[in-house]
Order: sequence, then C-alpha cells, then structure tokens
Amino acid sequence: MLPPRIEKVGVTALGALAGAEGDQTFADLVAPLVPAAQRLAYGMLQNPHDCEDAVQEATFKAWRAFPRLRADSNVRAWFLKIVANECRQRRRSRWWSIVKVASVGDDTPSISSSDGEAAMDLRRAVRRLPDDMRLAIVLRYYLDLPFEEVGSVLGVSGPAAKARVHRALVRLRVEIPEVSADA
Amino acid sequence: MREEEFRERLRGALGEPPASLGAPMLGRPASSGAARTYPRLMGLLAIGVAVLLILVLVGSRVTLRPRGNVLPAATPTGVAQLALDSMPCHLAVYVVQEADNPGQPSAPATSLGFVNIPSGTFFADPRGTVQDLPAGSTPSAALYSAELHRWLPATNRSISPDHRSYAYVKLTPPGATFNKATGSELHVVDGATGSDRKLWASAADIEVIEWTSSGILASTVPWQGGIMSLWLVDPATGSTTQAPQSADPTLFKGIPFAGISNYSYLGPVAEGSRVYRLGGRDAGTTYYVITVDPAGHVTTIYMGKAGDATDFDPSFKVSGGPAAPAGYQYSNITFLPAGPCVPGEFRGVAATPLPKAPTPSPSPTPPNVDWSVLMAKPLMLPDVAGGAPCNTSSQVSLQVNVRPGSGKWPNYGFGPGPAYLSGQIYWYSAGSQAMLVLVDPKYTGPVLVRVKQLDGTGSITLTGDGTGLGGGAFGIPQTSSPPYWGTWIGSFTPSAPGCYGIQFDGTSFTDDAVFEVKQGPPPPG
Repeated sequence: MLPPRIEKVGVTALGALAGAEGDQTFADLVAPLVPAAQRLAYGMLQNPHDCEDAVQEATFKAWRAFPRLRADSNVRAWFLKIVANECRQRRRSRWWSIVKVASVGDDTPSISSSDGEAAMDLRRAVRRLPDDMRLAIVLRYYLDLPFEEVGSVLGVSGPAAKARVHRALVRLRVEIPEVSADA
Repeated sequence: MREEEFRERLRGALGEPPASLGAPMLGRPASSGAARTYPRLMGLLAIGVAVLLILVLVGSRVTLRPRGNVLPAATPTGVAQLALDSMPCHLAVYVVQEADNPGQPSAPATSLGFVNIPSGTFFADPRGTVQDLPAGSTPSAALYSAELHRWLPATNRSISPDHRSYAYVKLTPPGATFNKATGSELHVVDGATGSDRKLWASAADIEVIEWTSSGILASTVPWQGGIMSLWLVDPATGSTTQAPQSADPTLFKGIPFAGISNYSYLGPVAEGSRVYRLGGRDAGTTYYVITVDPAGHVTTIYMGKAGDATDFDPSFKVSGGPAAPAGYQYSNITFLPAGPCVPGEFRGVAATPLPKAPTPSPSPTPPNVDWSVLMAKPLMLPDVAGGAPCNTSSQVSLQVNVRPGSGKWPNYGFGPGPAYLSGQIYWYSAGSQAMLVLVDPKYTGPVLVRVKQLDGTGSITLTGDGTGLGGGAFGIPQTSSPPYWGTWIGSFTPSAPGCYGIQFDGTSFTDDAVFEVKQGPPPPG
C-alpha cells in the first residue's frame, strides 16, 4: 500500500523522489518491514550480532537500490530478498561465525531437557541445510509467508517455492520422520 | 507431523529474535567517524579485509612473541607499523555481483582478482580461473595460493597449511544432489599437478571444517539427519580417528574475560594456533583478539573498543569494480577476501560487468480450442456410496523436465498419465488451494479437466490460466512442449469434504485420479 503522498505526486518510480523526501519515503516503506527482516536474519544466522549486522547492511543496500524500485513492486519481498542475499553472503564467506558461549540457551525459551535435545537436533539440522532450502524453510515456517511471497524472495514461482519447501522438509528429517510432503 | 506442528517445533528450536535487537538506521547514512559510506558502484571491504589483515598481523605476532603469555593490553600501533613494512600489497578477492528482479531467478556473476592496498583499486585477474581443477558440491569458492601463483577451488578452511593442496567433498553416486546422495567422499587435490586423490568415503554427509597441521578435521551427519560426529583425517594416509566435540574450532569454552559471551572464530594460522575475536560489535564495546595454541595457551594480541578510530577492523573503499547492470531493481557487489595480501601492486584487467536485464518474451497466444468436442466425452468417474472408503489413487514418481527458468516443479503426481494431478497430497473443504496439473511431453494437445465429488453433491470451482467451463470443468489449451512437460497451476475450491475424482480428457486419451478433500480450512498460507 503506497503512502498517500506517493499517489498524489503521481510518480511511477518510488525512487524518483530525491533527497530528504526520498529518504523519508524509504524509511516509511521499510520501517514496518524491519521486524520481518530481523526475524529472517535470525532464522538464517541464529546470532543476534550477525542478525543486526546483516539487517543493517541489507538496509543500506536497499537504500542504494531504492531509486530503481518500481511503484507496483512488492516492497516486502524486495527487501526480504536483499536481507536473504546478505545472510547468504555471510554464511558463504565463513570467515567469521559468532556463536554464543553459553550455547543458545540464553535466547531460546525454557524447555524440558528432552525437548531441549530434540530442539538442538532440529536446529543443527536446519543449519546444515543448503542455503536455498534453509531460506525456504525459514520464509515459510518461521516468517509464515504465503508460497507466492516465498517464491518472490527466492526468485521462483509460487508452486516452485512450494516444491522447494517440500524438498527441504524431506532433507530435514531429523527427529520428525513423519514430516513428508504432507507438511 | 502436520504443518502447524512442524511450524511450532521449528520456532521452538530456532527461538525468537531477542527483544534487544537494535533497529537498523534507515535512509542516508550519517557522516561520522564511525559510520560507513556507500558510494555508488563501489563495494566496501569491511570485516573481510579486516579479518585477512588480522591473520596477517597475527601470523607475524605469533612468530615473534613467546607462547602462553597474556600480553598487556596494547595500543594498536602494530597496525601502522605493519602497514609500513608490508604494504603496498594486493589482496586476493572473490567478487560476487548480484542482480535481481522480484519473481525472477537471480543473475549472479563471480570474478577473481585483487584489491591493491592501500589504494583500494580492484583489478580482475586475467588468469583467474579454477575450472581446470576438480571441485566438490559446495557453493562455488576460490582462494589464491601465493605459493602456487594460482587460484584454487577452496576456502580458507579446506586449503592445506602449505597452501599447495585442498580438500573437497564429492557426493555419491556420481551426479547425485543432496536430495539423492547416499554417501560422500573426501578428496585431496594437489594444486600444482591437479592430481585428485580419494582419501575417505562415508555413508554420511561429510563436511570439511578445517585443515591444519594436525590433519583434516571433518564432520559427518547421517543423510536422514542425526548427531554430528567429528573426525581427524590424515591427509597422507587417509586414516581417520574420531575426534571429540571439543575439537570443533567454532566452539570455544572458557573465555578468559569477564562479561564477554560472544566470540568469532577467525580462522587458523601457522603452527596450529587459532584466532578468535571476543566481544560484541556494538560501538564502544570492549573486545579482544586472541590466539589459542594447540596446547590451549591463550595469548591476547589486541584489546580495544568496537567502532573507535583505531579499531582492529579497518574498512577500505574499493574502486574499479564491475559496473552495476541496467534493468534490475536490485543489484549489489560484494568483495570477499580470498587469500593473502601479496606484496606489491597488481595490474590486471577491468572487471566484466553483468549484462543488462533481459526483456521478458511475450507469452504466445494460446490456440483456439473447441471444448465441446472434449466435453462430449462421457464423465466416467465412479460414484462412491456415502460412508464407503475413498480409494485414493496411489502417488507416482515423475521425472518432470521443465523449460529452464520455469522454476522447480513437484516430482510426484496421481493418476496413470499422461496428465497427472499434483501440488498437494490432501485438499480441504474450506478455502481455495493450489492444484497442479503435470502433462507428460508425449502428449501435446489441450486437456479438459473435470472434477466431481464422488460421494456427494458438493460444488467445485476451478480457476487458472485457461478456460473456465462451469460445473467443475476447466480447459487448458496448451500443455506440454517436448521435451518439456506441461505445467499448469490453478485454484481449486471445493464446498464439502469427501471423496473426489478428477478426469483428464485429451484428444487421444482419458485418464483420472481419485483424491480426498478433508474437512476444514487448509493450513495457513
């Protein structure tokens, strides 16, 4: 949904607004998306500092790319795609991997020891998924996006996104062998 | 497990982002000493360059300092001193250029080259290739070996300590993807000769963690999931011994500084030591850079405040990178350190930019089909008595070959073919859901789709790209185009749960499938 003043100006490119007005438009459009972006980055990177860095870096890159964004674009999918790319780069570079010393218990909800083991196994299995599969799982089940939007972020069609999620679930069968094409 | 149950378990396993996460700065970055600027068409080497320089610095300090000592918190004069001694140099980088339009596949391009330091100018290496050497199934990577004066398809974790060999993992059987692999092999390649030696085979998924003077540390995880095991592999003989979980360098216990809980593993250096950055990255936070030798002795080589003017993580602006391609809503260039900073300046060639975005081809006009001919074929779906079992069709595996760029489609369907129902295993009685039809390329004509409730009189609505014919009938005028399968996606809205049949009529066939519609709305999304 475009802010009223965009329609009033009648521009076809969001980024045609220059200077401070363009910055405000960018902030208006992207600010509501930050929680989803943080959630995506946290689901992919599993560390708060990595998550903050990735979202900030992605926000800067989105700001630079903003002049080329068309008014009819799905801004959420566009921004989340940039965040996803940033997360992929960080995982790919492997020059640094921040892991909390006190395991991740500080950030996870309190769970019983048996649940804790299962949760650890699932978390580890998700971490070992190939990037595109992990991203599909996070977008679908951690961010609750519909398949069409998952596809927009992944760069594929909605049905293709669904197929990728299905493949990720098959690959993922950790502690949950009953998860198959049904999920 | 149902979708909702898996969703809850995944969220419980991953946890929620902490409420303390800082919000990003939106809009134009402020000009300040600690802020970063992003000139158009220039990449920014930040942490990556810093890490490389850290390892260069550490490598020097480790050889000069006695082990096991905790040095006094040092002012970072070592940075300036090393700069005078070792620069100018050219830093090997792996450049990734991305360009995206929503809903379309990404168009990434990679190039290998060097960034001259301290000038920040980038040049592509005309001899920058790894195509002549064997590599594994991992995402593309490249690392420059100053010892061999060439690029290797390796990372800092998979390269040998002498930078003349590298390890990689091959999935088995040959040509297998992660979905189809039943085993994996660890290989070692001599970078000078290209000779490829299989070192170790496992029925699990092998991943290389790092190669140090102690050997190749690798992990295995069963393909169906499970516990990760660590192994130390002798690169000379291939003999393996199981390693304890404590051998994982990314796990660090016993941080020697109070109040510090976060750390980064920066990589190994010569003589088997490991380098860690301890502390957060929030501006003003105290952090340390330490080395840990094989005996576990910790040496502090730097202490400072994140984001201050003398930060251990310097940043560089890069010029000379490939230009941003036209026609994309998003493009980005990233420079990833890929090797040492080789003494001297490098003069290569200009980087090759990505081509501009392709113009989408207009969709061809669908043929004009007289549906009355196919509609005249009798509907042969059997009635099922109320309460009788719904004998649903068995799921069959399909080898669906689609046009490149069409995305990935399911590899299963229901029915005898050549037209198959696909997309879901179950449908639901409230709400609209996707329904896919896959058509084997041995048939290329139109397909009439008719759906009927077999154990009742519920109504059906089918919509999609084609011709709605009412009463649960839909016409797909164009299907397959050999050698590619026909793929159609539509929306299916039943009014009641029960047993349903779908009949596909083509000019030369009629087939059908039976499926179940469950009570209630479909799962969210």
